[in-house]
Amino acid sequence: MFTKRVFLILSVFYIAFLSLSWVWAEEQKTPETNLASYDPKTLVFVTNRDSSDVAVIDTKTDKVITRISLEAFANSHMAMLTNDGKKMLVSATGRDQFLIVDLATQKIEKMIKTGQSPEHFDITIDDQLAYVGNMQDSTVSVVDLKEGKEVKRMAGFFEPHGFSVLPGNSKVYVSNFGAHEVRAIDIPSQQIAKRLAIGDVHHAAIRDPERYMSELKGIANPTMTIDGRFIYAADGDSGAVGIIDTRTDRVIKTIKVGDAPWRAYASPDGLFMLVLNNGDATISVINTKRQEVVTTLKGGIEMTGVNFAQDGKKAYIISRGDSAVYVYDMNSFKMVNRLKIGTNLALETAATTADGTKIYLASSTDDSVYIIDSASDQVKRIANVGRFPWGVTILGSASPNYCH
Amino acid sequence: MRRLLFLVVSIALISSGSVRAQEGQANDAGVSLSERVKTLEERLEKLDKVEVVKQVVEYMCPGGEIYDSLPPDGHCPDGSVTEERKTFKKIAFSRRESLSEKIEAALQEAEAKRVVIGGSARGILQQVIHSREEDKLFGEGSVDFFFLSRPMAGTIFFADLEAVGGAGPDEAVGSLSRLNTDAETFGVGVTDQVKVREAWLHMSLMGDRVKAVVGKIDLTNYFDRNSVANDETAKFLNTALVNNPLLAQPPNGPGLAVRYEPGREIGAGIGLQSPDNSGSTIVEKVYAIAELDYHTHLLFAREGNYRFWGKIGRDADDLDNKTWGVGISLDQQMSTRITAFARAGVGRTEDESRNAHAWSTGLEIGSPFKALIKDRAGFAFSRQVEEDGSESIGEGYYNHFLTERLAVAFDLQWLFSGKNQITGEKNENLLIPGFRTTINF
Repeated sequence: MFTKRVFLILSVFYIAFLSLSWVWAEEQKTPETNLASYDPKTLVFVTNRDSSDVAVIDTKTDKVITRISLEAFANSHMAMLTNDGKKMLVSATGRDQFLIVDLATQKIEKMIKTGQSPEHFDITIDDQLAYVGNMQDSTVSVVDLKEGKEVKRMAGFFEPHGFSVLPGNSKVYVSNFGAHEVRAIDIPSQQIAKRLAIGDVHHAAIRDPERYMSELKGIANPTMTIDGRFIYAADGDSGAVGIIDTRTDRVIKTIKVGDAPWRAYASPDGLFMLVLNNGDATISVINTKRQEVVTTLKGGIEMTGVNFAQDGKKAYIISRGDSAVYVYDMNSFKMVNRLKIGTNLALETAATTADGTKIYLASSTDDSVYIIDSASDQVKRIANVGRFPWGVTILGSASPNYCH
Repeated sequence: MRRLLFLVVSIALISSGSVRAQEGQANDAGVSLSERVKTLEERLEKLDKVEVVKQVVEYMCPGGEIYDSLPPDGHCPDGSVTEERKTFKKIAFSRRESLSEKIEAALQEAEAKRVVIGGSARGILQQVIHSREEDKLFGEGSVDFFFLSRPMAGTIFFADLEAVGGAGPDEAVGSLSRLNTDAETFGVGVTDQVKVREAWLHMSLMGDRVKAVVGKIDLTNYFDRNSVANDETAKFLNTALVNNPLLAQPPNGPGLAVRYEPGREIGAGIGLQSPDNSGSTIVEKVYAIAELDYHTHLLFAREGNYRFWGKIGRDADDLDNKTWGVGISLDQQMSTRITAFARAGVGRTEDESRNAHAWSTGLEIGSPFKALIKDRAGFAFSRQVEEDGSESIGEGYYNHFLTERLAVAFDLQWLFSGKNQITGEKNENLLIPGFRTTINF
């Protein structure tokens, strides 16, 4: 009788202990945020490469409202929202997958097998197709976003690094970082329409071919003008920007810029292209009407991106080497500010809010996102957004989104 | 009993359930294992890949369009001409493949950077028979070393040091045409010396269509060439059968030669050179030559080369006297073994009262024996008429290769008639048999 009573008491205590533990564990969990209740244009999506998730920041409160898990070893590189704002698309470089995430449920809807090491991509305006560049095996995966499957894998590229889909969904331009050429893919037929040579490295290489054999700096991105009429493709080895007429697919002009240009960035008013020359730490400003360099600005070391703000009146240029952001007035082309973000920080990419008032800048080495108020140039930090934040994107950004 | 039955049934059910569960687990484990192996294989493939930058050739249209191979008829869709570009691409290889590529590239690089040293030596004995003077045996020898390197892609640096000893039979015969070209490499009477014969930089431009040579050059390497009669080390010895006498090229000196050879029927070249080795008169008293080449298979359906040249220059003895000349040099293959050649030219020096002219013609015959495939025989006649006199001469030779690098030749020149430029007397029916040994190393 006594044994039975002791056994009963111990059982009650044990059950009570389990119940309390469960309650405590549940309390420790981040409360599930219903993203469907947010305007997607007010959210910032930050891909964290090492924690394999995407941090979502509310631009009203500047707080991380949720972190969407992409499951182990995703090593996510770039994220983008579909134009309807319902799905998030992520390149999971570590798993060779392209992910479609439903924002309402924050769950991965489709894991689509791609080529090796997918990084950058672009989607058609109708949210039907995504073109994903697989850096490792130099292929391009064509993903049907509605069906959630890879419909074609196109081979023969050389590190397909950058993508630009024309507004009418007729063509997508792919830049090869491992070659000096841009390719145009005809979207209806899914065939290569044109291969276009950029730059004149073949002339320079006659004198010193070994220089170009040791390291190749090709074309990072085919940057489209805002109206979609031209593509500006900067070739790193030749220090030149080739302008492609998207109607004829001909290189109509080649402009000499600074040394080792990274890529061109279009100003939202469509008037300028800013080319970051990392070889000589300068910025070439190209007037898109005259198609010529109108001025060359002094820049920083290892520049990784340009964000326009305040209706395009200001340009923020990220310098990873200086851990700083350079601010230029786009009317006078004068440097108006130099924002020293920190020391030994690796500043990666940034996105501008839809109203152009704030810039969200990912800093990978301190797991932070820095917020720049474009009116006052004051900087605020959000710490612990995830491990190694890399790509930042905002739907309907006032400055074209980019990755690197 | 009932309890026992219940126990047995229970154990049987539990056992069967356990077996099924184990089978399911085994199946799951098999699937999981194959997936893991597949994942590992994919990761291994990634690890096994390395990227290598390679130089590739592409063809480019003015609008930037690229083709991997030359488009049909070499034209772009809009009819414009393609440009060949040697560009670079990053290509992924498996590690092993890359290693062999790297070794091959390193060997090629070492080969390209290597300074090539070569040379040749010649010994020539010539006997003069039936001269007015005492018939004599003349010995002459020469040796040259050349150095060749590639300082940059598309360029070659070449330097040739030559030593000549012995003057040859013209020391006594004084022929107008000159009986031993090898003895007078540095000029008439210049012997027993070591000199830099040539030192130049050769550049290939515009996809090898344009070739330029600058430095101390020998213009006869680029103009008035002839496949039958243009090499005193292996073919005819007489200077009139090496180049047109009216070419009157200056001794090797600072100059420039540019040739355009698009790889079709027509080619062209232009050469400029100082009238002497000093280079001090290169602008004022330049020797200039231009040539148009025509290569065809019209006759006998065999290769024929026709060259037309014109030159202006200065008299080597008096640089104030201008000279001009025009000429033709052709060689036409007539059969697999027989090739004919001809040269002709007319020219004048400013202070002379009449035009000089010269012509020569002959045949080269290949060996009919397979074992002696490199052996050649040649027969030629030359006539030249200048203000200082005229001369007719015939020459025949047989060049026999003992080994790849050692050749001996018997040569016979017959000076039909001419004037001894030293004594002023007449040379008539002189025979000059000779023996030439050539070693290449």
